[in-house]
Amino acid sequence: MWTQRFNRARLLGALQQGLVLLLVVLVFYGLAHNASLNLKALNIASGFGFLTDRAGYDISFQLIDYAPSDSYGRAYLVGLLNTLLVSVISIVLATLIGVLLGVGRVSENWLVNRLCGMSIEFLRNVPLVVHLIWWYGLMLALPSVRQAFSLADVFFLSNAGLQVPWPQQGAAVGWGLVLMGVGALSAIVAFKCRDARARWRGFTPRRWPWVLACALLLPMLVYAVSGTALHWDVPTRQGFGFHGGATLVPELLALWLALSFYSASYIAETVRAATQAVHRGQYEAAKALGFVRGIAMRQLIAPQALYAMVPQITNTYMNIVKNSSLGVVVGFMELVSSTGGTTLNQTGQAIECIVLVMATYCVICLVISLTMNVYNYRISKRGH
Amino acid sequence: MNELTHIAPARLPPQATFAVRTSRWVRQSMFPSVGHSLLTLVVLALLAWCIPKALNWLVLDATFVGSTRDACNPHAACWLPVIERWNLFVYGFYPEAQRWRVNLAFLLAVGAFVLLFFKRLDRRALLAYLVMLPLLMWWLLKGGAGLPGVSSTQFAGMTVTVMLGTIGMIFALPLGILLALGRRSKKPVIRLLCVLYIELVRSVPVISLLFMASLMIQLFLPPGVAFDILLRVQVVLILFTAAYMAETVRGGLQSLPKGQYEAAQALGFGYWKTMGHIILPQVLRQTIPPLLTQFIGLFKETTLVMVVGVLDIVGIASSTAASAEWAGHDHEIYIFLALYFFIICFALSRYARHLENHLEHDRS
Repeated sequence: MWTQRFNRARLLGALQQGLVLLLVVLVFYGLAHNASLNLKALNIASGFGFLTDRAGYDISFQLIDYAPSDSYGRAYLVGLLNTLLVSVISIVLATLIGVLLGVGRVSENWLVNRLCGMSIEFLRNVPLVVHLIWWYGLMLALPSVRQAFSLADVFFLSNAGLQVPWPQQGAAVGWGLVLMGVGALSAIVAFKCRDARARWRGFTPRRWPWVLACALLLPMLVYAVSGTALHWDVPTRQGFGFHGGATLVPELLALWLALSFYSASYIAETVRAATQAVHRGQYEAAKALGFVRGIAMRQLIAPQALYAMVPQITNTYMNIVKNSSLGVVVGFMELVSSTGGTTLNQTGQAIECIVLVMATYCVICLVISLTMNVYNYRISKRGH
Repeated sequence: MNELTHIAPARLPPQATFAVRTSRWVRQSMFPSVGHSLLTLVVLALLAWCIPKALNWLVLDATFVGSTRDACNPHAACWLPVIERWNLFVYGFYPEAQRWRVNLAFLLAVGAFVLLFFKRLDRRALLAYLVMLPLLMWWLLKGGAGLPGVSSTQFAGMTVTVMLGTIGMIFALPLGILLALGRRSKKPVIRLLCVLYIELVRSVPVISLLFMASLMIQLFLPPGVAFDILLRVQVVLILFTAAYMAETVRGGLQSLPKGQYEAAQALGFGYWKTMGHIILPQVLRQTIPPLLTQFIGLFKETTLVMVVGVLDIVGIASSTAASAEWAGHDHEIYIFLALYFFIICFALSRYARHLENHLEHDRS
């Protein structure tokens, strides 16, 4: 009796799932059928062959060489790099501002506390688009190139963007960055090896200065040995524009600042919540042991709060990457506006372009969440 | 013996005067150490310097009356673009004779939040109201069945924002609940499909989904069938919000003690009965605050529809800022925009926190 009913339940379950699956397959089949009919009627090619065709449109800001005569594939790469660039610099700035505001929000100074709270509430309750168009308007309202603000005659800020010195040999810089990574990694590995041999690891001195020194020394050493000298291309005023250096276009600056300030409010809230979530006993114990408040916060509370912050911060970082797609509002050529916008409009291959864009974002988000999970695992192993 | 009977009456500890308490508070919260005192002084100086200036620019010297930009005070804010185009900001290009319909729709949307406030209200009444609200709003705003129709191109301004937000939220809720239940289902196919959907939607930007709505959905429909852009955007916002909502509801489902499921099972309840009568009522009551937070997110997200050419309030504002008639006053327009969103979202977030505190209070 029991087995009979059990089997019937299982059979019903399998039937149900089969039906759902069938329904999904049918819907997808119907959509694909419609799509093929429509594409034939509109005379649009399908497949990713268009990536090798000539793009023919210009991109105002690029990290790798690009000209309108290059392919759509290259344009996609330029867009991807722009997305990554703006995401990375926004993550850095947002973390800085966010931690500052968050620390201010838990300060014992009433005035600072309230001011930070007000700024956080204001920043997070205004949509990112509004932040963005306001910053963009501000960038365009800057003085013209002739009256540009200058800092030590090296940086120039005008309504054409920010002029910065730029190394002449891109390849040398790329290798320098690789060497930096190698230097830092080798220092970390060396520490690991020493740890593995030592029987008791007690109070070891700080490690990050050594890692930093290695990261800086290795590329310098290689440059010195190979005789490479980095030539910085410094911008100079010339006529109606600038000569030399690189231009950070106003679109990039507006997107960077808007993303940073908007996301900083979320990071600040996370910092506040995590700090306040640390058990009250910890604060009291620190006080009883005679810790000054500043030191107690830095050495006792912050390490514990960090653990609680990781999931939220991961979320915010992923949102920054996803929100960088708002570049399309001000016309910054990142992934969505290059491949999902101009390429799509020129080729008409909507399905391929949008799938390409979505797949790229999926991969980026997956990588971030994997990295942060690894970090989370490591700091959870550290124990309190 | 006699002395002992003279016991002094119990007295309260001496109460500090108001001035003493104030000065103590000021010392403790603003000047606890040398560093903090310096910081406080610097901040106070900064505030003293910029608050009068800001007040002058924003309110005292600002222009509120007039009809053209010539009436503006060049050294202060000029709120005329917002005041003169107020109807455009609120109603968009909605026909003037029909504006009562928009007002009524706004009132109905606000009514939903007010109803949440009354805890003693019958659940079924609230549910019925929430089910009717989107249909009623769509009918009121779009017309048909007795009301003259209004084309989608006439929709703009706050009307679009409020409509997309409210209807999106209410339709996304049942979908989100189903997805959350599917994700916790024991049937592998259903679970896999739900997980795929939720994770896929959550890992791509809204803008790419909106692009999909404006450029790709057409290709998947049978030839000859076409939806208007407003409906397509609305559908995408619903599908998008549902994925996020599923995660919120899942959090609520997970936080419910296992005993509730076991008790239902012991009473011989089936799956849908368990969910409908026992689990979901508890979960939904607990998830009202996070769902409100989600609504704030959706409300802010609706501003992105300007990317696909739907003129919401941001679209109207930027076209006003770019118009020759009001050139040079974009800061005032954007400040108004920021304040508009700030006031609504801040009020809603406070309301969510209030409900949350009430829930905590009820539980303990």
